[in-house]
Amino acid sequence: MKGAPKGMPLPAVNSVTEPFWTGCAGHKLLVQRCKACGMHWHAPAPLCAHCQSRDYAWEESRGTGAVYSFFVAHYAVHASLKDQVPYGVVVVKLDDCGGVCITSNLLDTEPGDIRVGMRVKVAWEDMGQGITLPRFVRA
Amino acid sequence: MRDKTAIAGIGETAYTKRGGMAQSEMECACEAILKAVDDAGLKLSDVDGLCAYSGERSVLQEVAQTLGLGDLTFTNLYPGGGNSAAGVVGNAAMAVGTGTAQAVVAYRSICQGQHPRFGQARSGSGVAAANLSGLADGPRAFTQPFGQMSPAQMYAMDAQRHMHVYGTTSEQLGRIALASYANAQRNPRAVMYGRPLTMEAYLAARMIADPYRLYDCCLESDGACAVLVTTTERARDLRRQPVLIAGAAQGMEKGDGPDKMRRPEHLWTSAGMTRVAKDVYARAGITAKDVQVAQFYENFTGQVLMAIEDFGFCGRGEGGAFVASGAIDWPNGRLPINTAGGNLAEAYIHGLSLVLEGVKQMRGTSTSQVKNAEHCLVAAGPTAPPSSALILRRFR
Repeated sequence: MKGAPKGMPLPAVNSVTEPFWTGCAGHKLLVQRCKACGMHWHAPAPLCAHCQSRDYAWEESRGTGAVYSFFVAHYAVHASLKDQVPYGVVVVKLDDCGGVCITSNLLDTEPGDIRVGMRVKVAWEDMGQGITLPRFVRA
Repeated sequence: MRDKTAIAGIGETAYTKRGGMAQSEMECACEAILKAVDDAGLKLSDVDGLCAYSGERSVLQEVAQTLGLGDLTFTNLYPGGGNSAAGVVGNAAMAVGTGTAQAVVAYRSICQGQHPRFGQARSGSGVAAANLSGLADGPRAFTQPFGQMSPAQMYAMDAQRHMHVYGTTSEQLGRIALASYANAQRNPRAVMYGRPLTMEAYLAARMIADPYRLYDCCLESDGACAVLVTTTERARDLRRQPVLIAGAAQGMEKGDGPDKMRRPEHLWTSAGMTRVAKDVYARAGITAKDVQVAQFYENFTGQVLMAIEDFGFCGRGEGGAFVASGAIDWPNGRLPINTAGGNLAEAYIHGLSLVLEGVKQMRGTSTSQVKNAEHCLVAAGPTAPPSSALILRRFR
């Protein structure tokens, strides 16, 4: 099945991750960057694991990158997925923001056509309840 | 600590397919522990320490009270899942080696037929697995909304990366499954005894999470096992030939953790066990060439392949060629692995059964005995930090 599986849990938002999800709601892909040492990281964390500084900025990514790895789910691990397999999940390595990796889905690609190295760009999907997920399409 | 402690007894229930066990997990835990104590020739009142996995539902204080153990001077939980399999024994050895306790039992009881299955959607603390309601929290907030819901899916991405970078093939991963199934055909206790596997059947099996097929994935089983650790000095006077704990190591590499996206690049194509490997060899005073047989925790075949590389049996990226050469096959391979059938074909007792098979190899009682084996490596929890390892040594 092309696209992303439906009915998946939405993310819990906390004090650390709130700016990321607010960015998504405004269709901005934000990545934390340490102001002390310049290190980038994703997923969001309360401090820089390189220098332990808590002084960080949220840098906007252009949202382009390449598939770093992926899997294709064929076995439905939950009853609600039975009519949705196969579906693909990708890890995208961003071109900017230190080349951090982000887990997502390719909305426009059959799972059997996904390949490592495929060029992609972010595409937004509003999920309701104030949550927008960063998905990707072929660039 | 080298050779100062030993495994003096082992105990195990029958192993069944998920749902095949009539006894509760607590009954299984008690049975395995009583058998391990009896195997050692000790009395239950001699046991003064317990080590368990953090996910153990037969929690150790309840086990102690249920069994009627005497005073305990050491209790310990190893964090995580299958990565605990060697670590619980290593912690028991540390307690015994420091004199904190005299006889410590490490155990695992797991009946996936009676409790939620590992291979189904994994619930975050806020997500009810039954209906996927609630919210995904922690690192899962950045994976579950996209449909990454199970261990097979998560670990498949590292295998995919290894295949991309090094050209590793499905047929090579299949050799690991075939080796385990071949060994299980000689082990009447194995769940897959009487169920041989061919490469054709391996490749034709249904995909679970591409590139992982059905036989790349560990079983879901019911059963329990236990290991009794005491000092080597005491063990030499007991019922069984002691099996020396030559070395034990545990830990995780910088940057590793449950958020797989944040790991440094090299950990995508490693089991994250190179430091554990270095430490366990150094503590035992040996190198990879001194190891004749090994038990590698199989969550999935690709993680075994990467662990074989981490432990130096071949170079980085050469794991596929190594397993395809027959090196892991009993009896003539350079390093027969998972000689009872392992998690893929004996039973999935969260890996502790691999330690028991290591003990049998060092006692000379395995159903796929490696001749003249002096050392058995047990490596637990590839790509599941903090991982752990043991070097078991034959007693002379």
